[in-house]
Amino acid sequence: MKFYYFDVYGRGEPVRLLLTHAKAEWEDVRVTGPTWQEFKADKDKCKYGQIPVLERDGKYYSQSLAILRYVSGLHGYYPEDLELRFQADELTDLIAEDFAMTIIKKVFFVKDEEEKKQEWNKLLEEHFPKHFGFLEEQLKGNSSHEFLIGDSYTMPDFVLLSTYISHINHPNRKDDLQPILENYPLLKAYYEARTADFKDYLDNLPECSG
Amino acid sequence: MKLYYFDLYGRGEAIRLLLTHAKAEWTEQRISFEEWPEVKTSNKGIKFGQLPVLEKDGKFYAQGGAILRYLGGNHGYYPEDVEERFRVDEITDLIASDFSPKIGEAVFGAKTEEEKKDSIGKLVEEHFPKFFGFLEEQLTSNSSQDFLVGDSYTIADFVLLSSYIAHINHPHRKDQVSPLLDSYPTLKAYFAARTADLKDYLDSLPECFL
Repeated sequence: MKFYYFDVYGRGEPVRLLLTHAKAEWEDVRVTGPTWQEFKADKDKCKYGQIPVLERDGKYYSQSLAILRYVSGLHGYYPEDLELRFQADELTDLIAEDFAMTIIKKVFFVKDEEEKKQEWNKLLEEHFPKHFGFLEEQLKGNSSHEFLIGDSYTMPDFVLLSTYISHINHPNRKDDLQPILENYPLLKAYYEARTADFKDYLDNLPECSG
Repeated sequence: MKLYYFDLYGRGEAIRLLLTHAKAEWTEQRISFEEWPEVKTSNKGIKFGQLPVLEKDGKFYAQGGAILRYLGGNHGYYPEDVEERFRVDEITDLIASDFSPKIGEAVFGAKTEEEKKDSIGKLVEEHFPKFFGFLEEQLTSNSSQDFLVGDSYTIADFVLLSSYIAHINHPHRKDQVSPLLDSYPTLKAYFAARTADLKDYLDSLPECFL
């Protein structure tokens, strides 16, 4: 299995975390510059001209969340029960799209430094507390406070953990975010416990801008 | 079962189409933009401050994609097989996340009819042909040319049909967009056949601006 993505956390980190946790045999291929142009031009590997792409048994899988759900299904992180499965989908979409993509669109994609700073401050005031609140609620209402759903890793845990890497603990952002996290004790404890499970991976994490 | 959404096609129409096709027992509340601030705070079922939300047996389900997969699972429109499910997820996400939003942005972002025609015109040059090409490929390489994946309706078909209603065949846009379909015969035939299945529903469709 090979996972092709840029040298960023972005939309790829949840899959990397899942495959690491599953102790799957996989290669983390970071695509840059000329290798990206070459990959993009290969219509068999890169059907829609985008990455991430997963390669498995000679087949190519695209669309980051479709890939995540696929590897979740392969490795037992996607619930069988329809109600629990719904929760997994709901939380994954909430975190990956509403929470994470908003940050990317409102801040990372903005070129003007002044505007970027303003947008970031707005997120700190509203967006982060709002979403931390949702997650705190979810953990509180779950049978175990240790995971988002049930008492073991499911698909949304990997998406949530990637937000720790991209933001909460990111060198460029942790000073702004860790104080806010103090108001969400279950979420704070969740991040501490779950990242401890990934100590080796996190100790060797390449540094990326986002 | 009750669907709460705006008086738009948007992220709700795929759910409406699925429930209609499934001949499920359901009602809906279309919420106007004027009512929305009040409804958002008073209806505790709207847990993330967004629509659509589905109410079923006293429980509330949020996030359009998650709702669609849940109903898909309940009514036989979402495969159990991991490989086939991936193919449904991949094309569904392509349409819902990569194809549709740009069109929505063009419509919402335009301040005048002139601007809107211009924006759509630009999309007709590149965006629509690119994605019609992907969809044509999906249909011609599928086991049946009558559906996107497999040989019966899946959630992917409902998502594509909602885009047909909101973007391709919409009274305000069809003159600009639908002539393109002549270059994508399998896709054109697909739309003709699938909309025939939903004739009664489509004949009574309320007109929404998006």
